[in-house]
Amino acid sequence: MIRLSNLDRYFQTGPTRTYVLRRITLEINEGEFVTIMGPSGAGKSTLLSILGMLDSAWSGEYFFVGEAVHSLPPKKRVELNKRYIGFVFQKYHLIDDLTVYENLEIPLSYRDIKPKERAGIVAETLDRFQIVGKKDLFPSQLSGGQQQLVGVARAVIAQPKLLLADEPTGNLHSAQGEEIMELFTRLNRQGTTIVQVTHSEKNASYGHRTINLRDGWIVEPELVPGV
Amino acid sequence: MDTLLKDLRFAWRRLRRTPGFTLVAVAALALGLGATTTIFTVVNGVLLRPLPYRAANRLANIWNDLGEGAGMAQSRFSVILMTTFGGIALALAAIGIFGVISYSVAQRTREFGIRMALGERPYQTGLSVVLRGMRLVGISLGLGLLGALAASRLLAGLLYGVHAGDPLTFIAIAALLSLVALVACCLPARRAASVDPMVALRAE
Repeated sequence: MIRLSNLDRYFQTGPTRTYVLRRITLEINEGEFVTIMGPSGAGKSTLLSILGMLDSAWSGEYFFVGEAVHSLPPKKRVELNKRYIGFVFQKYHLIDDLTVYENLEIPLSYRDIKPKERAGIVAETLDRFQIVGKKDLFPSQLSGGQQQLVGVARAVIAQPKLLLADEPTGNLHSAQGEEIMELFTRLNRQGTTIVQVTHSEKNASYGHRTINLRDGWIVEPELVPGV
Repeated sequence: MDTLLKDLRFAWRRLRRTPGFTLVAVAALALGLGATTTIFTVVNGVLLRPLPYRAANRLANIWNDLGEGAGMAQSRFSVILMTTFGGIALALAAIGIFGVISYSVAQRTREFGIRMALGERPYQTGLSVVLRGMRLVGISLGLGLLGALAASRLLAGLLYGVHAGDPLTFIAIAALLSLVALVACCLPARRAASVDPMVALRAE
């Protein structure tokens, strides 16, 4: 599903080039649950944003579902993001002025789905995540765990093939974190490929394998994917 | 229609969340737009529209022929002065709109980042900023025109040639101000469209 080859990401400050990612070469197969770990500043989130097509200032080769992303114009990359990718953020990033229902509807509204069909999908997702009773509440009226549950529901509502999660349990207490991780495991079993960034060894243990980053480099040889 | 209603509801919630800012922004814009309309109503009524007499130009010529050169100069000066005031009011209204929309864009950077990460295209982000800006301008313009109507009614009793609620002037000024507002919204909209989602989401 994902193949990166000699991918570099750097920031240019005057004559100085500061590398965030160096010669990243990796492969992630469909159906895998991969964890990216490493200390702060190792480039984990940057790698995740590149995988999610939110960062386009990199060099090297990136193939996603057979498409050569490195030679695609920005518009086409957005299309790939819309079609295949869902995001879960550490800080949930729900829109404060929208209700749970409306937050869930956002990704669908960018995918040319008719309002009636949209309503059906949102209702089904509310039911699936058991948050029907919260649909008219605003994010500020929910606990952290509930907000992240809505965040995950929003990420998967458009049925993405790839779910990218940046420290998904970073702001939650342990019981809520476990719930989210179990939810990820269920989604993965249902066929969603998951790439998560985490500092937690426990969360990493939910995945199939771990990629370790340090100062922008992958520090351990890639393990053969074993799904 | 459904999207428009949702968008209106969302805009209303945002405005309600910051009632002080909304009130000041709408009042300031309404004042600026109303003042511009009033000034141009006076310019049109007193200086541009021909006098309601046959061969009105000749009346002016007679004045000139009598050697009252100062009178002509005075009239020319008035035209320049009033038009300058009108231009300044128009520029201030444009700066006001630009400021309000820029502030609103700065406040919503995180939201734009989220929306882009969820699949919104940059042009959609820009368009939403322009539409929301024009909605605010629409409300302010409505209030401003009501104020201008009241002011021109007052001025009609004081200045010869000024008519209260001259529809042609009002329509022309509303169209001109809408055009200026559209231009003033475009720069913040461009900035919103170029938000880097990852930077916006990390900046919080």
